[in-house]
Amino acid sequence: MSDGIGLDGPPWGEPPSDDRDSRMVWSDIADELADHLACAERRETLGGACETQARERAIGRFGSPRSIALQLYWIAMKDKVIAYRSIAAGSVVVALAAVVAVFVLVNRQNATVEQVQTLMAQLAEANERVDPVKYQWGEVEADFGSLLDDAVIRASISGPVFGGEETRIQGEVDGGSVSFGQVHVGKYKLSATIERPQPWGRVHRSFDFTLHPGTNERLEITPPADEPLVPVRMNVNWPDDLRDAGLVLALDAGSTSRGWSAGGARLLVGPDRIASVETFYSPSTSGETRVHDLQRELHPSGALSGWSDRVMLPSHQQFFIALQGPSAIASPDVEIGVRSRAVGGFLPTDPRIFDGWRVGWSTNPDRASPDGVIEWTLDLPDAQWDHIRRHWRFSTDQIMEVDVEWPVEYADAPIAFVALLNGHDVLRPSTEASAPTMPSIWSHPVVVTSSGVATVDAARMWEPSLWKETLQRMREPEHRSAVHSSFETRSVTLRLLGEIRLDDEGEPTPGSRFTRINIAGSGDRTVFQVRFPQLIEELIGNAARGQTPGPG
Amino acid sequence: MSADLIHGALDMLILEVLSKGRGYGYQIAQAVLSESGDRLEIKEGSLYPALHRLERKKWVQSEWGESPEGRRRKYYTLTGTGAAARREKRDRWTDFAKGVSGVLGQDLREVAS
Repeated sequence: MSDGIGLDGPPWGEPPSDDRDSRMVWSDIADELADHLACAERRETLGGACETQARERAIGRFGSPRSIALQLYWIAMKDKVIAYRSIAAGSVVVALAAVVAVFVLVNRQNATVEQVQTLMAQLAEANERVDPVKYQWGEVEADFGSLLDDAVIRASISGPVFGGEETRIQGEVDGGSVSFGQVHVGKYKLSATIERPQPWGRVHRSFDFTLHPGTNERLEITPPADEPLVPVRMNVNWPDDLRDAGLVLALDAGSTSRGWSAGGARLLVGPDRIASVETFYSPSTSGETRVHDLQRELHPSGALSGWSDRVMLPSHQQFFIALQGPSAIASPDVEIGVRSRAVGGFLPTDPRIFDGWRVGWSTNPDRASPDGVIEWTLDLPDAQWDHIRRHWRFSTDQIMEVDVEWPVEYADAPIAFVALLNGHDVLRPSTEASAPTMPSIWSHPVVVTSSGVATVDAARMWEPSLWKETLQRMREPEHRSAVHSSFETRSVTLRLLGEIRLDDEGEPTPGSRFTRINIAGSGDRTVFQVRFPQLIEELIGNAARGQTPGPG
Repeated sequence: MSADLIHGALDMLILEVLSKGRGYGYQIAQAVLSESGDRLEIKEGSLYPALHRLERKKWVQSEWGESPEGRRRKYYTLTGTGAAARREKRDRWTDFAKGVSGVLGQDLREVAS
């Protein structure tokens, strides 16, 4: 093999596989590319370039030598893999014949030792020829169905195509199917772009799949059914006081298309925006189900922030969404939940404020307004709006006092707790108005004692020295400002992580850690009141009595 | 010229160059460039997958030789099947070019000149 032209080794790198055949194939490829690059370098040198410039320009005009070498390697290996399979299949036949022969000879009881040994040796030889490594290749094909006569498909797979490092290769499109040839077994991601005339537009999809040894993979990817898009206008009759509350409704809009969407479109609808969350799946011949989640959000103007095959246009508190096929219209029931919206985005589900239930959208009796748009109107009963209202107020109160109900009889118990205070939006100690804020979801380590709650540095939260400093601060009047019991925040939970035992002099000693316990606050709109469960109260009591903690 | 346009015609260009005699990769790339009046500058590396595919189809065959500097060099030669494929591709391309020229209102002879 040529040494190549690079100072740091040949630019085409090492062969993807280390077996003898791969090395031979790679050697020829390397020699051919080396010859080309040497010629190209000479051309550049004659043009006045120095050695380094000549090399750079030669490679620049050539393209990635590694990528080209891998392509050539695959083209060469295709034939070899087919040949291996033929040999392997023949070897299996030989092996079976040998087994039968041994069986017959032994049964007749007239076989000599030499005869049996000869046959066994043949069997072993045949077995060696059935090299499992040669079965490590299989055909991959993606079938996009016959519905896509008018589509332009581009698809690629990335994975251990050549048996080594991850490589991406483009498939060869033939009608509605895309062939990737023979590739090495392993885990792959298929990425496809389907471009269809309006109103479908361009759609990107990706799926994971595994090519198992000795098998081929035919991915059957069902595109959205070739049904017309149906414009749907969603009307939500928001109560006046909630219109600007930053709420959204999460709703499942039923099945929207065949194959692509298992649960239909999941939409988040707010007074000024709409987003969709979709789950795609694709069955495969190997029986796996591939799932791909996608979330996308509309800008308030109605323009999609990402790609879409749907058209969504907001009108004043009304949204048009184009859903595919009659199935979406036939079952307009939606599951609705309330989600508080943080500054600049939607909040993840907060179990304390999320509540879902099924309601029916009322539909226009004619199913379509004069302009051909299907009307879906949501007019919740007052009781349900009240329900939403209560949760919303609870979650959006700005000052949330964290009030820990420490058992009064154990106020001096030599114990404290390390905990995580979880909440939404802004965590800001109320005594430090100018403190930096942390948007959206936060989770902040705190130390909880009978005298209050103090925030601690997350990076050092398990260091006893930090506990000591914190506990000292909490005891000293001049540092009382560092002890906070109220936070500017929303929807808080407290998760106890462990206990801190104090020695006779009040110094922290590492104590046993117990199973994490989530303590959801209760109380009214402004106070997050933490009442320890019985288990923790017992722990505090034991500490006060100087007993060893019980829970593990 | 657009790489996509060249890519679609790459097989035909290679067959055309090899119809004049055997050649090696770098030489073929330079021939395409010079005979097209420097209009068709291909990414040189893209030539090789095309050459190897053509070899797999048995439209070209290869043999190893040696360069004047002593390097191993792979030479390609057009086969009989390749020559037939070249003629077919050439005819199809000429038809296509005539069609496009007609739409554009150009005489193919003008284009060629």
